[in-house]
Amino acid sequence: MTFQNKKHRRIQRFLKNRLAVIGCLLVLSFVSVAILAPWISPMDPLKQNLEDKRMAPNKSHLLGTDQFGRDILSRIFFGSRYALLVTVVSVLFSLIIGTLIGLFAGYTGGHVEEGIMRGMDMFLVFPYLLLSILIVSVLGPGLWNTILAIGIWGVPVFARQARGAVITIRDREFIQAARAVGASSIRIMLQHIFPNIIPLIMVFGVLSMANAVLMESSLTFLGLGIQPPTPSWAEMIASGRNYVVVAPHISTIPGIAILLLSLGFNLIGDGLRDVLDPRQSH
Amino acid sequence: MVVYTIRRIMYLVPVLLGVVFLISVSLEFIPGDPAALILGQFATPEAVSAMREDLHLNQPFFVRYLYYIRGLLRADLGRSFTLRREVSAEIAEALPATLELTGVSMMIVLLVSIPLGTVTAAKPNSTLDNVVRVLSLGGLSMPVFWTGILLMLLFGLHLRWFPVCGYGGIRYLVLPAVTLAAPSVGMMTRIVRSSIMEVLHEDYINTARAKGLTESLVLYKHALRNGLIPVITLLGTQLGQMLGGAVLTESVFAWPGLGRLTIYAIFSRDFILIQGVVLVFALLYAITNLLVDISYTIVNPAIVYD
Repeated sequence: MTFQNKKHRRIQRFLKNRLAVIGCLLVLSFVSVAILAPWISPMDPLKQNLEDKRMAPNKSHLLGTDQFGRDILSRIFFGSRYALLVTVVSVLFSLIIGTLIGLFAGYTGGHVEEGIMRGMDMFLVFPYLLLSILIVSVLGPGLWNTILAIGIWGVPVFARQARGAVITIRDREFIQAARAVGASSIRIMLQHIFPNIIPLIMVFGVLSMANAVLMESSLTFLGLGIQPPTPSWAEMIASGRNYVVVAPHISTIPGIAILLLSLGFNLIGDGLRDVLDPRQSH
Repeated sequence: MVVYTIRRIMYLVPVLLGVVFLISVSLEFIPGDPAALILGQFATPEAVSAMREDLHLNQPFFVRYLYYIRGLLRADLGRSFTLRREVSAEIAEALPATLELTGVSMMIVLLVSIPLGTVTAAKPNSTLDNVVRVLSLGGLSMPVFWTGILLMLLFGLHLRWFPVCGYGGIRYLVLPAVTLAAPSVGMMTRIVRSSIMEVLHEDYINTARAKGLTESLVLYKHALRNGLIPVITLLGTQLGQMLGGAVLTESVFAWPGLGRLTIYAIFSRDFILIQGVVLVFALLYAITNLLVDISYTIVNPAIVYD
């Protein structure tokens, strides 16, 4: 089978997976909403109108208003921008740095590998979220610090994945052949080894995005992430909590957006794994 | 086996030294003078410099690190300056609540995900399998704190089955434990399913079937036992997830555990308390991973560690 043919079959198999296609649609709709937010939002997401506060969903405010009378639908539309920004940038950060570290460690081997991976393990001793909490508590809250906190957490995770993949191919014949014809280490790493670990990194990257969505919301919910009045979904949930008895829609509706975006990435990642990693697929 | 266990316990030492190191380094980045932060804005310069001496702030970083390690050896984590108490005493008070919460949640996770994973592995692509697949993906895509709020609204405020928040008997535990368990149930069900499906392709399963054993005996006796071995390794990671989730759950349900103490420490900028609490979290995680690794050798004697 030629390479093109194989790729074509993979795309076909991916598109046959109904859940994966639903995932794509979910993520794509959030991306379009994020891009079009200024044009499709019925109101200004920051404009307060205390006369209309805590209104349940109705005709003029499809998803109701919050405790300041701001339109929840518009805030969710604009919130998708921040959710996607944090997710994509933080995952790219950990993917690029982590993969490079893992590639280098795995290819070099020996004491260098041992040293680097022990260093990475040190970060992995913290339970989920605790390292990020520690980082933002030191750097202070805010959009970019949140991205950094999630990104740093992911570096050792990607490094481990990449290294694990590299050591299974570093001694294969085609690598030895490249070395025999005098290719430099950097060239072997980037041109010969890297393309072979792309599928794994891709699957892992998409699944990490599902996780990053949840991490951003968690940090923001705790008051350590994106700060008000920026319309972030988790911030809407957190600040609506005081009115959960009289106006439960304020803190329940934005959670659906978080769930759907994270679910979208999970479905895509799952579908990709079935296609790209035959060992795991059933 | 004994040697392996001892070696694994010894391995905790460098890990903890590393964690303390990372925590100390990160606290170096806190803007401002910690001594001034402790004493507040009306402190005299003399008091600040005395406090700096007390906290060894005039010493180089490495010396301070050694002081902290020396304290650790005597179970002394320093003194919280906002609560005016020993950090170790605060932690000892909060720890049982967190262990209770995560322990019960873990039981829920195992009790739900092992049967669900096994049943769906036996009938892949059946309606049940698809429903469980979507539900478990949904469970692990849900933000923990939101699940908590939904459960609180439904079972606490509307149906009034359980108290909305607080700490007490088992009734208070139900909602937080279910909240914390939800994402891990999703994850573990998937793991159990794929692990059992892999085992079902093995030769010895065919042999068992050829002997004429019933399908349920093959599934529950032969496949389940071996299928659960890889699941045990992932239990450690799940516990790490749950410890992090506990921070959120405790914050939603006002559960007086380590998670709430962490949040308190961060917002009051009590860095000595932050240091202690994060360290205990890391220690808990390291110990559970250790237990998981050891139980792994017991469950599967074929594994020999050198």
